[in-house]
Amino acid sequence: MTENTTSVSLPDDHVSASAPTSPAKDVLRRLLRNPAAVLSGIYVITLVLVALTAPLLARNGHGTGMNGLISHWNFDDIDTHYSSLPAPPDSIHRLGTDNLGQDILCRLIYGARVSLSVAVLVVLIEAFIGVSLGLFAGYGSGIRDLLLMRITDVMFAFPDILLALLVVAVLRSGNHPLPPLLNMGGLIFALGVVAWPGLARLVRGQALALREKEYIEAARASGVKDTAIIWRHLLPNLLSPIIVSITQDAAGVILAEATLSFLGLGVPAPYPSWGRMIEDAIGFKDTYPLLLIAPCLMLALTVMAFNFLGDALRDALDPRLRQ
Amino acid sequence: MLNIILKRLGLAIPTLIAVSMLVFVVAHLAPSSPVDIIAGEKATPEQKARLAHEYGLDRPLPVQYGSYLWNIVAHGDFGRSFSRSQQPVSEMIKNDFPVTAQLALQAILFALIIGLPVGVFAALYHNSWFDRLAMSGVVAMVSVPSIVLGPVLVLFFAVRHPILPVSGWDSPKYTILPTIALGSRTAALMARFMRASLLDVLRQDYMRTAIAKGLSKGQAVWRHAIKNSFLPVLTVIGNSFGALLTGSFIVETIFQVPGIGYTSIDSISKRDYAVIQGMALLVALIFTVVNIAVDVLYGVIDPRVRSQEARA
Repeated sequence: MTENTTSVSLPDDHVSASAPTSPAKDVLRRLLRNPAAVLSGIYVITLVLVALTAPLLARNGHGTGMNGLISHWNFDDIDTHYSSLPAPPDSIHRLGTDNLGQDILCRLIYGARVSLSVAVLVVLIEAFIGVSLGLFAGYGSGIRDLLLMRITDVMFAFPDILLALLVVAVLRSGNHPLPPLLNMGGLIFALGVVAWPGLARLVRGQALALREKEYIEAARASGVKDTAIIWRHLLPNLLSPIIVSITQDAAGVILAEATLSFLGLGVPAPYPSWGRMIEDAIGFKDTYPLLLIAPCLMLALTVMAFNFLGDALRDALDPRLRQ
Repeated sequence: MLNIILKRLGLAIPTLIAVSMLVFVVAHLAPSSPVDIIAGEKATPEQKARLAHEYGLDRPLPVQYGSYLWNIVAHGDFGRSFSRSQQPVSEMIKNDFPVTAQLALQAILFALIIGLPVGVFAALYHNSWFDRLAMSGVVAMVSVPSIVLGPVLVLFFAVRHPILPVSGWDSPKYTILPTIALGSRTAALMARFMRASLLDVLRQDYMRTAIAKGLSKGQAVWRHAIKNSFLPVLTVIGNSFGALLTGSFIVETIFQVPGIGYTSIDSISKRDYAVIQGMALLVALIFTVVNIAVDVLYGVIDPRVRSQEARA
């Protein structure tokens, strides 16, 4: 019997039962077994590659100010095509151009770059603030804990996109418009600064529970310093809930960025953003529906992929949480 | 019961005061003062100083905050709009709030009417084609945000099949598309939670007992399962409320509905801080009150929660 099974390709469970695997491999195996996760993973990886290689892919960006995002952006070209109408797809502009003469496909591709960059930076800010405050409160407890919980209460009393909206509005309220890069920084700051309370509470709760575990107590009893306990024992055990929470939040951040951009308070003018593309396209809905559909589709697919990936990661990292 | 409500309200007051402080401070961190906006670019420093004095903007910030809060609590006075010819903010709230409230309530109602039956049938016919279809639909709808659904609805109903109005708020007909745009995601969430919760209840021993003592499956579900499985769904309503409020900002902008969202966005573009501050406070207040209401309803529906709260 055993001789037979070695030659036949087995379901993964059997393999893992006989041969011990590393936890990372285990997680990957569970992820690969989930078709929605695989599809979402492929989509997200493709999107990341597209975003990274945007200047190579979006060759029709010339004359649209889209060559080289962030480093050297050509702002002078933007106004030259102004007041013209959107154009339907042709052999050069595969998805047509918008009312500024900008290639839609290029804008979608650079939009991915903007969306993902904003999401990554915001999530980093969120993780930094959320994890450090969560650990600070959860491991320290007492007055610090009380303080953190009251601060998060206040933040939770307010829908987070609206708070970000307020912060962006204030940052941009000067009499002289800020340079686009600073505006972008302001947007990222605003989104990051409202995103952390959920994560902080999660980390705090986990830290509170872990703190009572025997191995932490043992470490403390043998004279290990608090910082070392936090770094070596607490943080590694918190990693999976943090990763899951951050992946799920990435979808929310991408959506929040698109929403703010849609409302005219997000990604500043020359940078392309799916949210603003939707807003711009509404005016031309009667004549050029593609202009509207393309960014809508990208946004919905991306949010969906991150949602799926977050759920799948949760299931894969902690099978106990599975319903 | 009354004790619980009072305790909750008592806890909410410090939070609301902190929120008002936060909003006030954030609004006053703005690099340009409202005086610049009222006076215009060409005003002399003397004119600006006079205006600042008139509006009380030359007083220390804590004093300004104190009088702002006092005016709200004592007189219901949220200040005056700079951009709309001195219209009191409280008056704008009075005009706009009912519109947003109606939109949000209709959206919740829509979500309940669509989401609950779908969730119930998906659970009762677990793993059937209907269950699978419904759950795929739910996954899709949860990920489609209102800034996508809104424009798509506009595209479909304004361009392809012009049967429903897509802008304004004149008659019930005008409220249909905004309601769908705002409520769809909540409907999907409700269907998902209702299904999961009902599936859980159907496996309980008391359900088997109910059927064993002679109730038909339908009677057992109707009498014993639905009410017990409704509790988690109630949490969804509470949790969705934040999303609905945020969503109303977007939906109102897309469909030009004259509610607090539309006014707030308009005021942000005009840098009208008195209005923004007032609306932000209103949103926080609604949010807090709804959360308390959900907690209280929890107690009404589930006596176990009630006794727990009373002991705590």
